[in-house]
Amino acid sequence: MRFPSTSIRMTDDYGDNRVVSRRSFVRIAGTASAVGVAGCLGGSDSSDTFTLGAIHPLSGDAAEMGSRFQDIVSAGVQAVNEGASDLEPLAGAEGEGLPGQDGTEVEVLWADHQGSSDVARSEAESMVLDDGVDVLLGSYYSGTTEVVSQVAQREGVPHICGTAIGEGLTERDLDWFWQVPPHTGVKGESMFEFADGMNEQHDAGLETVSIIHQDGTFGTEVANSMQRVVEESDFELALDTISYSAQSVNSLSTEIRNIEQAGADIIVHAANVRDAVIMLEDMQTEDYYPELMLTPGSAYLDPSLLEESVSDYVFSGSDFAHDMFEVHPPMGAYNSYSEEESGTPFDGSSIYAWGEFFTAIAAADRAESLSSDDLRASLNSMSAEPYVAGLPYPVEFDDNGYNQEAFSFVVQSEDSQLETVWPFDQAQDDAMTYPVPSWDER
Amino acid sequence: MLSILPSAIVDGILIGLTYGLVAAGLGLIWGVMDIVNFAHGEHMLIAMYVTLLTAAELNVDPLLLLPVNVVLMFLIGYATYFLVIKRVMDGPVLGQVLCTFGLLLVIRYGIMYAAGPTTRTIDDFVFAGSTTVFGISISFPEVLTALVSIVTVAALYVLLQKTETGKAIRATAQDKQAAQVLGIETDRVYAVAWGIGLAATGVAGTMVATFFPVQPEATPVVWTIASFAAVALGGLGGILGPVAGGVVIGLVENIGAAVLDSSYRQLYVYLVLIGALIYQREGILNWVNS
Repeated sequence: MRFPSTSIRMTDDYGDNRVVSRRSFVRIAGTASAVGVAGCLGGSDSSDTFTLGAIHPLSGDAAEMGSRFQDIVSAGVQAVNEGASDLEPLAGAEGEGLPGQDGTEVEVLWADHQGSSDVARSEAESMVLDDGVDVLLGSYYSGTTEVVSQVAQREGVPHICGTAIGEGLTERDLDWFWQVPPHTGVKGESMFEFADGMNEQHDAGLETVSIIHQDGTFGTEVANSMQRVVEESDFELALDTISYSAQSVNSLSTEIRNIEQAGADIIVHAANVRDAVIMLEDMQTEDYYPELMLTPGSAYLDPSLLEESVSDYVFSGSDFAHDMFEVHPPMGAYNSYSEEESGTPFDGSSIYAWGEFFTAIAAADRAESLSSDDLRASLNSMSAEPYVAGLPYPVEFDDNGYNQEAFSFVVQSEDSQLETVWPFDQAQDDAMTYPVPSWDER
Repeated sequence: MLSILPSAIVDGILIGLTYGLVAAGLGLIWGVMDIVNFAHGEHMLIAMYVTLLTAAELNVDPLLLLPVNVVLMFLIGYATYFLVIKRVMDGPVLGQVLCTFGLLLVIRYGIMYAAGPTTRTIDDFVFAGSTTVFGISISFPEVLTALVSIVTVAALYVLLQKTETGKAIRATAQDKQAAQVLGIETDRVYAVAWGIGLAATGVAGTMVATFFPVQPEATPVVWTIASFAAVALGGLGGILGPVAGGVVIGLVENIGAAVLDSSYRQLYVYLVLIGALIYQREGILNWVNS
């Protein structure tokens, strides 16, 4: 049995989100009762609902993030179903239900893939075959996204991915898969354009790079993309790419000493939160910091890591910054709405879930009908202006289903906040701290 | 690469002593009762979370929680024996394995339910910081943890060798029926052995939480794997074997990472472990003595 987004699952209900979950429970109970009564009165049935199947990690290492995805998307569902005209130009927000589909209501079913490709496959099959979802969303990890997209391809159901950034995901000749966020290659290009800019505008003298990554799918993909970007740039690798076991790592001191000896100016680190903490704390113990700690985001944008003082001054590729609302006011309105309605504000990861959901809404709203073929046609011809799909950049897919307008800016963390530092013309005055102070000076 | 070798050796010894402390509790239970506690890392996790949450909520220094965790974990170990382990002691080995694996799941996900899946660290610790000695960076919490490990292992050794309780534990481990004939309450001895084994994880969990990020799913895996390898390498039936095994593992992984490719540090450990198991099944100390 599957539950609507507004219902409780075990994994929703632990940790720091317990208060939010209780609020959600009350809301859900009310919604469920209303739906039940409507059903008794012969009201809408499931065929009158645009149903999305979101498959994300709701347990395991990424459980807290998955919980934030649920909160934020629940706010999105509410904005569409109840209307939130203040949020225009956000797709579907101007009236109750989808305006382009005669006010059809939206519902999101959630499934936990537990980080397992096998589970992701069975959940995707169940959502399509048993629950009859109109669109699949997810699923954060590239490995799980790959198998979900295979199910979507086989069953002819659109799969919109706004949360996985693997570079090769859209290069598999799939007809039913669309990737919204910047992939790791685009992120890498942004990161090293920023580094170039630092040399030109701040005389930073950056020349050499060291890439270190956890050996999971995410870390390996990022490392491969970064290595390619570095090799195509004027920068040089100071030493071979370093990997380590994501599961058993308990120290990175030796790796840090090797990087220090090689004299790398820039460290690119692809990590989970736990090993990001280990990396930064070991760098502090070794009293070493490169000219730039430059990451592809992910763990380094996680609110729990940003609370750690060792994360100050790290630069990351990101689609989110706390000061982005100055440059992109609609994003500020979306964030306020999400925080008010779900208790959860945007962060470096959850903003992708918001974009994932509203890309689906934008496609559905302008489709001829909610049939798979019409949704597919709508996605293929989509040309959404910035903010329409909930993101600060446009959404327009190329022939492979990749959002060719996806863009990553560079942020720097300080005092638990992410500040935009690149593109330089989008950065607030004095947002960047450079050179980065040594550990003793902090 | 060789210039960082001294640092790698120091790191290896420090982390190895910590592995040894974690492994000592595992080895004690394993050696006395022939039961493998798959939930050993999760028991350590309890002490870690008591430390993290109490330190954060009550602004208490983690060191002050050391005796609290020792007593708490001893009581948990004692109760675990009577409530759970005793019921499967005479059953098939598979039942014992499933039982401790069940404990693993209950503790891990119980903690996750109660405290959330977030990675946590200690914010304030009286011995936080690091220094450089002869060009080698040393973390104060890691040095302190290594010293506490030595003291704890020494205390365990004295307890097992010199006290009536220790003698009863060793006698029961050697021959349960003979011990019963001599009037030893073996059930109570087993419960005490579980208590002592988990009290060691209480010490380890408290100290490791001062310098290691804690996450309910990932953290126990790291320490359980290391302690299993340390016990397998060091040998069963004593306290010193697992400690020696822990130090060897710490040295192999850190020296291997410094001299060879650091990406394969786990490979070096398991190559040594496999070699040791093939050529000396009784453990390092037995090999040294022979």
